[in-house]
Amino acid sequence: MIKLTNISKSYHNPEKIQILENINLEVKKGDVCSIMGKSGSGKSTLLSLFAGLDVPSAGEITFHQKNYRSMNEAQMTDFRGKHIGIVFQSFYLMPHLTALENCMLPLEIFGIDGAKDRAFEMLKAVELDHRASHFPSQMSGGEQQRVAIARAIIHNPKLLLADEPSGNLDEKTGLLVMDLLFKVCEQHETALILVTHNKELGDRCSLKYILSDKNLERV
Amino acid sequence: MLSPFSLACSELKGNRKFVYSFILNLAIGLVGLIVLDQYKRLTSTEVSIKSKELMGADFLVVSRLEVPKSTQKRVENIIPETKQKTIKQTFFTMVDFGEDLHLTQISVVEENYPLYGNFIFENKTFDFSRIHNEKVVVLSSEIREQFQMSVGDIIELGESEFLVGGFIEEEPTGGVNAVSFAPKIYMSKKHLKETELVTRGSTSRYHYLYRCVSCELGKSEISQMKKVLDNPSTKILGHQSANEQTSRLYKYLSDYLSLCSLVALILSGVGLIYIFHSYLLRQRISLGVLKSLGADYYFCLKYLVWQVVILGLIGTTLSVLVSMLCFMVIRTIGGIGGLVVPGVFHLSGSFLAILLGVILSLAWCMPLITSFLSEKSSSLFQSETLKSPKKRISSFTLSYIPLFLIVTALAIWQSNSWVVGSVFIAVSALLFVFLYCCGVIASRLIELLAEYVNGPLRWSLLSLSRKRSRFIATLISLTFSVSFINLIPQIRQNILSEVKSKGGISKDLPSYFLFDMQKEDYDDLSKMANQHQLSMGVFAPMIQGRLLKIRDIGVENIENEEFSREGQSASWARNRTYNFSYYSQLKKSEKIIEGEWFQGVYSGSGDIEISLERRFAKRLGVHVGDSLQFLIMDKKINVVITSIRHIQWTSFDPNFFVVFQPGVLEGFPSQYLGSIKGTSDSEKVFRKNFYKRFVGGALLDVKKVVSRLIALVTQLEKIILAVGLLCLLSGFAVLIAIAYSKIYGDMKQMQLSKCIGMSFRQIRMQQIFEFGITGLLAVMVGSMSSILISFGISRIMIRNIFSVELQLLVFLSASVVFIAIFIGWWVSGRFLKQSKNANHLFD
Repeated sequence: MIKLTNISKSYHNPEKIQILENINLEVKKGDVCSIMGKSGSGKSTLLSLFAGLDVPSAGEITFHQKNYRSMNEAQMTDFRGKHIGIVFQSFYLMPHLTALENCMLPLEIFGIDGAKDRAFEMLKAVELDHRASHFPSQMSGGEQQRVAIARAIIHNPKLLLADEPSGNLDEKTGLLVMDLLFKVCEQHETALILVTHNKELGDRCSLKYILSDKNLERV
Repeated sequence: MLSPFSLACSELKGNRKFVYSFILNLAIGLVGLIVLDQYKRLTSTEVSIKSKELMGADFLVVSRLEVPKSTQKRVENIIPETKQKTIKQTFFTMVDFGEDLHLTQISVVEENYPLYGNFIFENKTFDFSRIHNEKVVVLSSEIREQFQMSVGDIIELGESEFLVGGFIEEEPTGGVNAVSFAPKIYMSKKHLKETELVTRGSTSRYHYLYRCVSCELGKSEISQMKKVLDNPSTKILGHQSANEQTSRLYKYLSDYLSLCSLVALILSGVGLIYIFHSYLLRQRISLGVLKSLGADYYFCLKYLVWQVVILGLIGTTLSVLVSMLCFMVIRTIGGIGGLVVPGVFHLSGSFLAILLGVILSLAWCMPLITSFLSEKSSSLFQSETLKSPKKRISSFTLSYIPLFLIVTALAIWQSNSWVVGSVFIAVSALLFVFLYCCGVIASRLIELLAEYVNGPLRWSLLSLSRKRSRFIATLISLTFSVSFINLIPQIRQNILSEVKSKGGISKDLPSYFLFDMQKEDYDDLSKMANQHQLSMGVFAPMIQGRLLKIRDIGVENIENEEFSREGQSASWARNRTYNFSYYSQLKKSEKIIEGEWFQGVYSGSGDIEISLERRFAKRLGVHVGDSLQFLIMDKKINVVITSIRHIQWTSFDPNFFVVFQPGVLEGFPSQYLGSIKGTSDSEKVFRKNFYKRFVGGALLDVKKVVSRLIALVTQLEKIILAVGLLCLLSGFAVLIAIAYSKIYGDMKQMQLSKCIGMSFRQIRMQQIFEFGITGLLAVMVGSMSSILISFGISRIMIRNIFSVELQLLVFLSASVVFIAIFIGWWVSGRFLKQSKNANHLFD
């Protein structure tokens, strides 16, 4: 479904800093893939490349036979909005929108009818329908992350990127959130790429990779 | 050891955008105040230095009657250093300039005039002494322009003919004459008698100018001189009075303009509070870290205070430099609307400005600093404080009381008036409260409206309504400036509408104002007016006198402060020469607002009734029922105030501050004032006939005077508008600062929006909608506020008819909305162009 071929990424600041080198990875529909690595190993950079938010210095990324390089920024944004969902470590909900409004935002962007009803269903699925009218500031970390998961999955993306989704949560809440994440991905047959430090979480994934020395190694 | 000062400096170095925003906001707010303060200082200094030249004497005695030689001697004996004396006589008469007749001021001078200063003529080689040796006169340059006269022309003055010798470019004032609407002619005293211009009943002013080696006229000398005077209408003036007389108009103007620039300062304060608040939010973690490393409250306080002081110093210094630049530009273009800049920029005023800038910066920011520092250290690592909202708002509001007091003191100081300064602050405070309430209501309505729309418009409405404090702060700052920028032309419109109708000058105004007339002239004057399709208006007697007592207390024993305009007005009201009149019926331009009109003619016993004009009574501090004593021609007259009148001064009818009941003043010698109404096909003929029949009388063309007044107001209005634009500039500077702060604060949300599929266009449209809606609300509320305030000023303070200048209102409103939208489009575009920004969400 999504394929990285000989991906390299470097920055110039002002000297050249090589972050990733010759990364090859393929994730198919329904795969659950974990990427682990030390701090500064390039996990966030890799996620940005998956999301189309950054451009590789070399190599190709294809998603359903569509090459990222063939799309301009507007096309990439549109593509990302329709096919990719992202869950962040810091939740990143819109603070001035309620849980329901945050959840329905991806559908509103594309003018899809019935966004409100669909968002309510998603909140129900993550057991937060009773908090639909509450703002993020009125919710706990775990609840916010569940809303974020609902938002990420509402438009049935083919790929879900999760950047340390339980990183800002206590152990118990983190486990609950991760269970939910795995569950919804399985239900919607969404491929999941999970960046994590947690070895136990990594072990729950069918594909495990370690990012070290600018390279990606399968475990 | 690390000091708070060095830490503050390094912190500022790392936050350049915040530094630039703060400094720019402060500088824009202070520029207007500094420029106007400098102008007031320079004008005052310049006039003080030149006051002897302006007056043409060290001191002078002014009287409407010739001062007897014995009285002159007694005055001169008080200042024995007196070395030179000259007498100047001035009066008004109609002069035929060939093309037309015109009311002209004739100045009759002796050979040693002027004692100070010199005439400058268009023909530089003209010798002024020729007016004494030959039958030559000199004219003011406007006569040449208006009537196409030239050097060498012959001019008739009364029964004599004179040669025009030259036209005056500059003259020593030589007396008390602040603003005159009549052009001038200077002639020699030697030739006055043969002109027969000064006849029985005509009014002259006699100026006795003195020059001495080194005489300083203090209050005690003036008081001694007044005691030796016979006539109460005679005045003694030191050269310092020239300062007040000649600069009064610009003094009042600059006082009111200073208030306008204070608005710009207040707006910049709003912006500074917002900018600093955003900055402190970003500093929360740093402050928490400092505290956790052992820095106590005072260390942190000094750390933040030093930052504000440094920024205040830089911001104010920048504003001083910009003000100097403005000065240079204004001097280069030769002044604006008559407001010529004298002298060079004085740095002494700048130090005061810098101190003020630093104090104000601290006043604006200290409440924020103390609020942040009073939080528990742990809460600084969280996104919201632990204090309850209610407690925070009330204590926060109270902490701004010192700022409120400073701004109030500033308003009173700048306007030189307790009343004007206090009213200004009260109106501003009410406007703030009103705008706050409007903001709260608007945010609720916007939230409701969001349910009925989609896409970027919906998201913008939700963003505005849910981020209420930011929305209200933006709305208040922009609306405040829109209110004031709209208010200024509304007030001008209300004043001018009194005298202007759509086709030109108001048809209700008289065509001519008459003075120096006699009672027996009325019938012939009436017939003459009718022959020229004109009609008589008012024809009222005028008698002069002075006030001696108020409620049995002598006026010389009444003391008051002379700092404020109210105090100065009260002092002027007590010590001036009075023009009394008497009539049995109220005029059209008058209305009784307190008490009752006269109960018939005075019978010879009981109280003598008088009626006072409203503002005049207020200046004297008297009411209906109070007693006064006047001195008229050596006779003391006791009176009781039985009514207070409101007068519509813009009727241009002869109106009087003090009107006596009929039956009291008929025995005193008087001259008559009057008005003539209507338009005639043969006005030139009428004026010529008038001049021939009533040699001692004078006609003032009211339409021309009003036109000149309108032209003067229009000129001054440009300055008023310039200062108003400064307010708007301040408002926009605040908007840009808030825009950058907003965009910076919304950065992560915009990046997130990109992540979840929102296009560049959609994100930008949301920002444009937010700014556009805020701008639209600001002009709606601001326009409404300005109309309400100008209505209040017109009806309550000035008591004029009220009208709205719609064209300018619409133009300004549209400009504000357009600029707000442009700012939203521009600022959002700058941030959105970098797609790499979204990566930071993964950090």
